[in-house]
Amino acid sequence: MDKKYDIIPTFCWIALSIFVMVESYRLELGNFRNSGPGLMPFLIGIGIFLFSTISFIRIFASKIRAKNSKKNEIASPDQVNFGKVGLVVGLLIIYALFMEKIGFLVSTFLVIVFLFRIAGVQKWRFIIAGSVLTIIATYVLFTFLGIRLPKGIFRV
Amino acid sequence: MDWLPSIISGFQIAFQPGNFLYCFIGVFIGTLIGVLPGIGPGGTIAILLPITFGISPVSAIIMLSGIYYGAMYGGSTTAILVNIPGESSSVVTCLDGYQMAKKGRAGPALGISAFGSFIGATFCVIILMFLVYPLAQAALRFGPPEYFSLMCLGLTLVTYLATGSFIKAVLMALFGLLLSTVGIDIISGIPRFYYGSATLLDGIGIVPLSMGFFGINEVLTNIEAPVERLIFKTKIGSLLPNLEDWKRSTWPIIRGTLLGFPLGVLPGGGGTIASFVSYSLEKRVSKHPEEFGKGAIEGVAGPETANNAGAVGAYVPLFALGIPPNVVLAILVGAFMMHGLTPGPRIIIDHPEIFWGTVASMYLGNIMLLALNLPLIGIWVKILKVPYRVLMPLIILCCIVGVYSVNYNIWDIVIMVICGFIGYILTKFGYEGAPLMLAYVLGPMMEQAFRQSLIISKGSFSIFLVRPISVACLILGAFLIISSGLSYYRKAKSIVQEG
Repeated sequence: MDKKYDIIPTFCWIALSIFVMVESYRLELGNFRNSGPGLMPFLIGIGIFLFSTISFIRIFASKIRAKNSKKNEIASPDQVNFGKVGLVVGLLIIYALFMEKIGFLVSTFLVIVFLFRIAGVQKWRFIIAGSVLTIIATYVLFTFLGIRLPKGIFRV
Repeated sequence: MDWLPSIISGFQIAFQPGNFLYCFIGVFIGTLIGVLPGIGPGGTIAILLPITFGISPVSAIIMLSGIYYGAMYGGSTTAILVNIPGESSSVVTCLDGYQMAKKGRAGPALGISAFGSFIGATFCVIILMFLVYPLAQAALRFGPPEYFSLMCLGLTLVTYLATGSFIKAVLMALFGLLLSTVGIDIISGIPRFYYGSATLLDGIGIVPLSMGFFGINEVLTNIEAPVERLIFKTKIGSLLPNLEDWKRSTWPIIRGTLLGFPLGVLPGGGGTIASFVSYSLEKRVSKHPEEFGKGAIEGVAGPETANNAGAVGAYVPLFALGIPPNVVLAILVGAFMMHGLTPGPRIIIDHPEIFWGTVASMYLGNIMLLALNLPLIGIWVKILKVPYRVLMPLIILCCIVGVYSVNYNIWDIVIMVICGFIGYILTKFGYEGAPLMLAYVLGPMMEQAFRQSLIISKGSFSIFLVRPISVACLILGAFLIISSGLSYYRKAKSIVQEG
């Protein structure tokens, strides 16, 4: 990712550090002789705040330098494909939430079919055969290892 | 310490049919993932952690260790034949290995890489065996202040040696420490940052976190930009290097071994740094530095030996102090924890079978790797042709079932996916996962040591400054931070002066 976007995570770090410090304070800090549960997270929060502030100053200073030198340093960000990534992440979260209800075999079959498609496999025959074989192999292996996989409403 | 009976008992454990089989499975998977770019030993160990539940702790550690050092062997195959490093430790092998392949000398390049790896790793296992016990005895005298300062130094070194920005690495380490505080406080018993969630009450598990940051993150990165693999069409030919090759490679192998081991012991070490340092050393001492980058066999022999020596050296702080020096061994600590064990000086006394069994299995594993990587090279070349779009769903499925099987909790899958996505975003912004993972593993130990030290000293921080080992570690850590700050200051100043 281009450096000009570094400011985004820096703000997130600062926000996180403030949140952590407030929450740690609520947990009770205690004192150094008898430290409370919030002391360590509070110190970590201070650390994150300090280093993200340094990062912010660095970014700010580099922007001023770029302005002064009148260089057009704005470049396009790296080629990214958040669409596919977002789709996979969303699919996996939905799968996780419904796996126990629908059952492992059915829900996993559906998700593997989608994943093969997202990954760019074109042939449906390969997708169906690959998904079935993958699930059977996984099911046999993990059941052999003593792992109980959810059966869900279809009882399979 | 009676070395001989301990070594013999180690071999008895390693030769048990079950352990022998798990050692083979480990080195086989290690070579496989080493060959395949896009999935590393950290991600693989994380994926396989839950599977080790059903087997004995010693078998689990033998298998997972096999994956780690096996990946060092496999990484060179891809580097030499495809010019893509299978592992970060094989980056420099691309430089001369691929050039050798282009000149029709892929066989000797693969051969010297395997022989060098074998010699370096085997020699270092011997050093490991004799070094860990006395170090562990010394570490038994360490108190909480020494442990806290040592872990601070370890984390500082890991962030200092990070490939990207030092500040970003520090932020990731702090984030890892923060994640380790989620759940019940080890001293007061009060829950922290759990927000009514029963899953978070137990803390964020190492399995969903490591699978997310290394397994899912790698998959997401590859979905976005798949790694193209163009295998160089050449006959591999004889894998045995000729006499001239051996003559040129002998000293690089010796130097790689002697250099790789101590670099592996250092926090942040392991195979990668060792291979880079070895390459630059070989280039500097060579009588023909102009040949480097054009197919010099020294540029393959030295780094490949060093990365394997470094991988073995990394076990010294793990077994002697309980401190993992790199991210892969930090995930391996998760395997110890899952089996109710804590790596460190006590493990050699309380569970000698784990230490001696693992060490003995490394000898066997390296012999297996030599066999796997020389006569069976053709299989790995064929596996290289498996497209990532076929592997991706399989990796995700293994992650899902693996993480679910730990607690039979669907929220662990959600946590894993979220961690994977956060890891992917952070990687995009140039934040590395290694300091986070290491800090997460060291976090609870650090907090306990820190708070115990303050209880002992009745709240005085001077306890960290009056003990020699503790103060030495803190001074070294402070020196690294200051030197990093100064180098940035000088760089910024020169840019300003230039205009």
